[in-house]
Amino acid sequence: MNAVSGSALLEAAELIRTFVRTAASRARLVGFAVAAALVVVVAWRVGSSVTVNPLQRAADLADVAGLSFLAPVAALVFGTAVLGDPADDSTLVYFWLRPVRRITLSISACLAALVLAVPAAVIPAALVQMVLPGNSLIFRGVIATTLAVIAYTVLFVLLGLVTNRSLVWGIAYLLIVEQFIARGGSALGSLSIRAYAMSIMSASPRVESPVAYFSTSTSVVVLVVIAAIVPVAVAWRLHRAEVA
Amino acid sequence: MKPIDAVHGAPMVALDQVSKLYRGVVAVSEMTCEIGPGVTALLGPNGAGKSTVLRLACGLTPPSRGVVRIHGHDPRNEPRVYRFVGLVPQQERVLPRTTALQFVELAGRLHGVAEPRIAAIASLEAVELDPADPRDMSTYSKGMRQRAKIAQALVNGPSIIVADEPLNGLDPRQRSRMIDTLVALGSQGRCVIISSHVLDEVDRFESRVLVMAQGRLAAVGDVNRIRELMDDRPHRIRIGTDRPGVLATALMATGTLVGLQLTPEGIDVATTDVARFARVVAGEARRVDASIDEIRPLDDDLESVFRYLMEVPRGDR
Repeated sequence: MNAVSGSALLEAAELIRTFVRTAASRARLVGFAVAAALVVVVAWRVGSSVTVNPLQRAADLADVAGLSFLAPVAALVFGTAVLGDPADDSTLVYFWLRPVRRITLSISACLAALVLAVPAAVIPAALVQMVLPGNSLIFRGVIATTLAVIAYTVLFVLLGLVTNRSLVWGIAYLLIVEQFIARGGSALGSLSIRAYAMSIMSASPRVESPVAYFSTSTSVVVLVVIAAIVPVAVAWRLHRAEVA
Repeated sequence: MKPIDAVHGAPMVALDQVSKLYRGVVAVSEMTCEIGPGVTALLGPNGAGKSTVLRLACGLTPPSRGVVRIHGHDPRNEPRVYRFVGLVPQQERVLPRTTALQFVELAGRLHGVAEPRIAAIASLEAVELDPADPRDMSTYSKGMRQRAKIAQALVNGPSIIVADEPLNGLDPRQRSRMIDTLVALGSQGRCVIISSHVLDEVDRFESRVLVMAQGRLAAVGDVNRIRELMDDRPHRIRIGTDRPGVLATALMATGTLVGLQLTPEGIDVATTDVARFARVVAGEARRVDASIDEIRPLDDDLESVFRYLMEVPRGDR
């Protein structure tokens, strides 16, 4: 490792630390801890009832609690916070006006958001599967939720940078695209991260989902591509940004 | 990121025919200037375009027209040039859940300072903040936050220091110390650019002054030159009296006025020789048996100076 890449790593580490600290307000952390606890308790209660297809029930709970709620909401809250909050309150200048590559800033912001959003979504998703009898979806559940929360998070980092009311726009996106448009067939479903994640979750013939249109491999590739491309878009946007 | 060098012979900061429009509204119009070592003050009323010029000079916003260069490089396309720049922004907000030491150390680290913590401690001590203070900066007073902002701007020893209203929120002792600090940096050969709307404040920096009004560069010079321009302009004075018509006639006859208007409040006069006018006004009032309730300047503020400077043809400045 040469001196330049070494200093870039140190810069990135400092940026990630700072982004995590500034985005992790006590209210946000407590809110997600409470939400996660509620989700797990509800899953445990539902899991104690008798059902003919426990796998389908596990997939439904993973969808309702994880992919439709905790994953997108955690990604939205922390993703829009890392660069969106500084852009809104004019403190972005303290990151921007430095001799730091925009891609370093972008990747650091995305990683910081992921440090917060992934545990907030994936740990409860794993616990939900663990408290259900016959937890055979735990592996797929964790993989699907992790890939979904990564894709959502990088998208919301970009959203925070390009809009002023990013939380409002993000909620609108989640309600309209992920909950409504995603049910409109595979063409419209291709716009939905949840559709890809549920496709991974529903690979078993005993599990059905109204939004599982794609093969597991296609879904994984698409989510990984989103995770790889969007930080580049964030860097481009940072390069062109007008900073207050 | 590999360091970048200054282009040999290039000015430290250069704006060439720079204009900035926001949704069709002109914020800065055809500004051309080169700024070198020493303190340079952008002076102008609120809304004159000072902050926009500072943001343009730092590359925080791209010009709509024209060219901005820092040490010969375009700051919009070359972030490495920011190793030369320390900015004290105008906004009060600082990073949340962050101590002053973390804040300044972050700046040092991102600027590639060899020992960022040691540099941050020195920088905080230079502005009289306690580096060991564990409090989040959001609990700080306005003046303490301002000092933390100044510390982060100085942590890497930049050759260009840009400070938007740097004395805001500081108490008189801190202001004095801050002025000394910035003047010392200027005398070390650094380029220190500040903005202010207070002429007396700028006076204390003993700086070159760029006067801005309505988005344009209205005048350039040292503070004495600006004061001369202020003295050259007609001063408007209101006189409250019980016999405005008679006193107005008497004053016109003295030859000290360049304008006079009777108003419901009294007489508004314009004079280019305030001292002589002051000597004759009491005598004339006594002579015509008029009592005077008030004499007060109508435009003894910078706004009127800037208006005047904008009205004077450029060749006369």
